[in-house]
Amino acid sequence: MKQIDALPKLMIITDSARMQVPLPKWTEEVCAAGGRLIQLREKHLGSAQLYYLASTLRCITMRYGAKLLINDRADVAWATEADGVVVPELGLPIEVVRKLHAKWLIAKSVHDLAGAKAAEQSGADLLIFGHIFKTASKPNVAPRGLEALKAITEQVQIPVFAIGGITAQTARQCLENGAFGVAVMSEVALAENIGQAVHTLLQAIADTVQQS
Amino acid sequence: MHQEISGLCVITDTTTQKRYTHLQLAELAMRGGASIIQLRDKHLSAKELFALAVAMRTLTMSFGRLFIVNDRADIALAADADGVHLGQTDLPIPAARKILGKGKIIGATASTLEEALAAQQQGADYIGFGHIFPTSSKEKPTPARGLAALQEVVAAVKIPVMAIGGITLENAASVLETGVQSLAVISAVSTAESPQEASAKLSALIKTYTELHKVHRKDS
Repeated sequence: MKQIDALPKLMIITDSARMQVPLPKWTEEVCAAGGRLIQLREKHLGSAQLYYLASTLRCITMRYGAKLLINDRADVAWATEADGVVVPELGLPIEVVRKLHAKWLIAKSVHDLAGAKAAEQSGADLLIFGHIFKTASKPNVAPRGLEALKAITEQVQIPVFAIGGITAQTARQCLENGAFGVAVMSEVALAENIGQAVHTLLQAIADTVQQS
Repeated sequence: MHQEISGLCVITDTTTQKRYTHLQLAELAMRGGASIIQLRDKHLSAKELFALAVAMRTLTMSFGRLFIVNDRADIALAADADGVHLGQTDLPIPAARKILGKGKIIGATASTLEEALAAQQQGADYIGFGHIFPTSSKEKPTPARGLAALQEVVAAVKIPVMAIGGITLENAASVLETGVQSLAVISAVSTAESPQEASAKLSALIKTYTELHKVHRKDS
């Protein structure tokens, strides 16, 4: 039902405020390069703007068979027929989101083991854990590191995506430490060559998976 | 079908005053006679807003009043509110309707006649028209609309109209003379010395005018 088996290992997160190209064009390039899991996360936007962008991204991702997740706003996900929701740390309870839409892919952002276990128990389909490495997105919080990632992946059954400071090189380390996949923001959002950035990450993931 | 929108709508506000919480204000407003409570708090996380909406649903139900959530259709649905109120920068009406279905109320803010007619056409259940007078509750880039514009909207749309923006006990009668079915207030109740009393006075005034307009309609 949840198509976890077909879950892509690279989640690409939008950051339109820092992008050098319009979001729809960026999304098109991400998808064309093989990106198959996109999270729309634009916390500064009003719901109307978010809704219209989500509708546009839904059309683009649909053409490529890519999955689209919406951060926080379950109503926008519903109205635009997205594939699911990413529930932030202070988002709606997972059970509540599940009740709104049984078939959604529900991801939960967590920052420690207790949060990860609670999210799994509440029925989250996947976890996003971080930040693993130093990242410009969170300059004032200490990174969690690979050991914490490993500890979490050993204690939950659902897929864990590592986030925070992910590059082709660190993606490999995350996968080697138990992560199912990785989630990136800056690495693709700020890339001069978007397609190339996606390609490099996908290649690093494929190489690591093949070796293991 | 749901209860019709009429009477006093109190938007609980915890930014212009700190004496009361959302729930305390709602209770005082309903004790005074408010028929609709709208929950709006752009500072809360979804988790906090949802928890508050659940408590507010129980409270409003215990008074038999309507409960409307601002902007978040997902939270309105999950907390079983009576509906959602959408500003011009919130979800489009058809998108919210897709989520909420026909059983829930969708209110839409309009600040021109065109917006009011468009909202009606898109399936809104009521129009929140304003702001009528200059207001301090929100930073408003647009000028106050005035009573003539309100009157025009009331005459032009078929769905109930709720006047909002700068309404006080002093000017409420002039607003009600336009025939508007409902008044929405923030500071007039939230920052009143006695929110309950302010709510009671406004509710009574609305009732008087509603009866008056009913008589007029029968006569004409």
